[in-house]
Amino acid sequence: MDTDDQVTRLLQDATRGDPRAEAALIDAVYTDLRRRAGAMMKRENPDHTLQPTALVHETWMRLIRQNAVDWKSKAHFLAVASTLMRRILVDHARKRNAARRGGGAPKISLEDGLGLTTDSDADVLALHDALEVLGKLDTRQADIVVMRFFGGLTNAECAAVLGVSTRTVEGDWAMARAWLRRHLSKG
Amino acid sequence: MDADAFARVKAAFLDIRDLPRAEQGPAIDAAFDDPLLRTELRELLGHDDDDAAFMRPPDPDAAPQPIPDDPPPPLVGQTLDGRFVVETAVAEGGFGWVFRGRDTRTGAPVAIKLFKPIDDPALRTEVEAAFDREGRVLESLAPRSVNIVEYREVGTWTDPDGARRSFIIMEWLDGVTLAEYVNAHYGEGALPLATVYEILTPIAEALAIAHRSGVAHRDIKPSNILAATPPDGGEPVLKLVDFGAAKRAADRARGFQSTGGQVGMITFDYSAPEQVNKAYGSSGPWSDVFSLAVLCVEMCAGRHPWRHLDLLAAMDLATNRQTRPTPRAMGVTFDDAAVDDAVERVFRKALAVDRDQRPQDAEAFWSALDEALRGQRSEDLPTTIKAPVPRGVSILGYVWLAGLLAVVGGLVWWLIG
Repeated sequence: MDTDDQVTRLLQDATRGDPRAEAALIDAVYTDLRRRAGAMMKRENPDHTLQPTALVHETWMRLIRQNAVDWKSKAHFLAVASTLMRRILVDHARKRNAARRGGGAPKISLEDGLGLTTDSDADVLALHDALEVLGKLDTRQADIVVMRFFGGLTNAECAAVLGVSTRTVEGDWAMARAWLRRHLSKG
Repeated sequence: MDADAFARVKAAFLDIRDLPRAEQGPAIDAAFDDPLLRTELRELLGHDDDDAAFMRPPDPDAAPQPIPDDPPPPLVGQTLDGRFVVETAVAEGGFGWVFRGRDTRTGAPVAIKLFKPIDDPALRTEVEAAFDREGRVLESLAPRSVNIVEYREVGTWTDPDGARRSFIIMEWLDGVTLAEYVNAHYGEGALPLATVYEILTPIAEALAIAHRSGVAHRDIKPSNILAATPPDGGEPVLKLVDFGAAKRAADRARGFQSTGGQVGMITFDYSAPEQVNKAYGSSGPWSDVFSLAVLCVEMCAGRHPWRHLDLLAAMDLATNRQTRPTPRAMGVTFDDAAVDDAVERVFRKALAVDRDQRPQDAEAFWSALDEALRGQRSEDLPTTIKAPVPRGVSILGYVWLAGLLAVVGGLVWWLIG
């Protein structure tokens, strides 16, 4: 049954290092993720919360025949999707900011298990800018933040994607969090 | 600060953060001569807090795990209705928990579905009424078909915290999903349509019985069809599980509550258009016909018509009135032209976008399919599988899409609410 699952096969090829499969996989995931994120964000209900990690994992469940891939491929998929999720949220926040023109000082509240409310454009943009700075100082730390924060990857999954030990990821993640907390609280 | 300095600060940060607080100050002073680096290091350590909620996403592994490792302790060991003992949790869903339990009167193992409490009294009344209805319907259906999971009891139970919870007791099934069963018995990949017909006939007949009683299943998909091994051994029996009326009522109730649940799997791979968007009309037995037809196509083509497509292309396939995902459209053809045409007609109807044009129940669909295949045995029906035909996206897809996004959006909103 269902032997011809294109996205699953793309993922398998991309994990093995095929750059064309990687590009096609990014296309497929981005299209799917953006449509669904866009539809949710349009609702603009400040009482509700958009959880990027939930969306990323739901995309995984929807697009991939899970029993056909190993956990490393899963980590690879989530890593790709988390990068795309970041791009989607930042694009969206920028558009809305441009549309609003002003509207109070940015407030930072990246807490409560990623409580990104639909009104947290400032958080997303501040985090994005901070990650740009962090990326220049330590690329791997920035990558880990993107994977953990936007994709909900575990330390072990990040380690598989980056080809380092889980212990290394734990250290980088602790340092990146401390650095971001300080950077963002300075405003 | 440049990357080299940052790397040095990081090395010191990782060394020092594990030290007791009292030793950290002297260690920071000893780490660098450069006062700027010392300040950087001190500030970073001051912002290092493992317990803070900052940037801590919810554990992603918590959501898709089918086997819970943390069942609600007050439930295990309880006795429902003075008769059914809750033993071990086997699965968690948005609705609540599924436990393995035991019927103390017969000693037989049972499956216990225990729903989450509903606070709102009006909603609770509605859900309990739906439960009651479903219970009575299933009590009457199950004895008439071995292919419908056997329901033992439906009721309400007040837990030790005083919360009222609805429960459903069913027979305990040992077995595998339809997909696993088919792969093990028939091999992976495409199957002759006549074989698919034979495999699914028990399910079609079970559905026909339900439909005659005015009950639609509304969630026909491979994971709701189990191949259960009878307690005394013997050949597996296909069982239709999860007649979801009660679950849907509970889901509706949850839609008005914020329970902070997890994102469940949202499947629309087998849903009829009217199940995704009410603009297509109301759902009913004709929706089960659509789902069963999709399942047939998947099994005889060896792949699902739209699961692998991107969302819009999937919507298009599901709702384009001109191009239906019939076996022929999926590249499955029959060498006998008469059979080929007959099968095409049956599936164009069963997969019709408009519910009125479909066979109105499983019996009508299955007898039409039987007619199309009449006199043909599996080996008499050579089939040819060709490459799939790529399709464009029609505007009709968007109508379905609008409804689906509303559904998915709504689901995610309240699941994570």
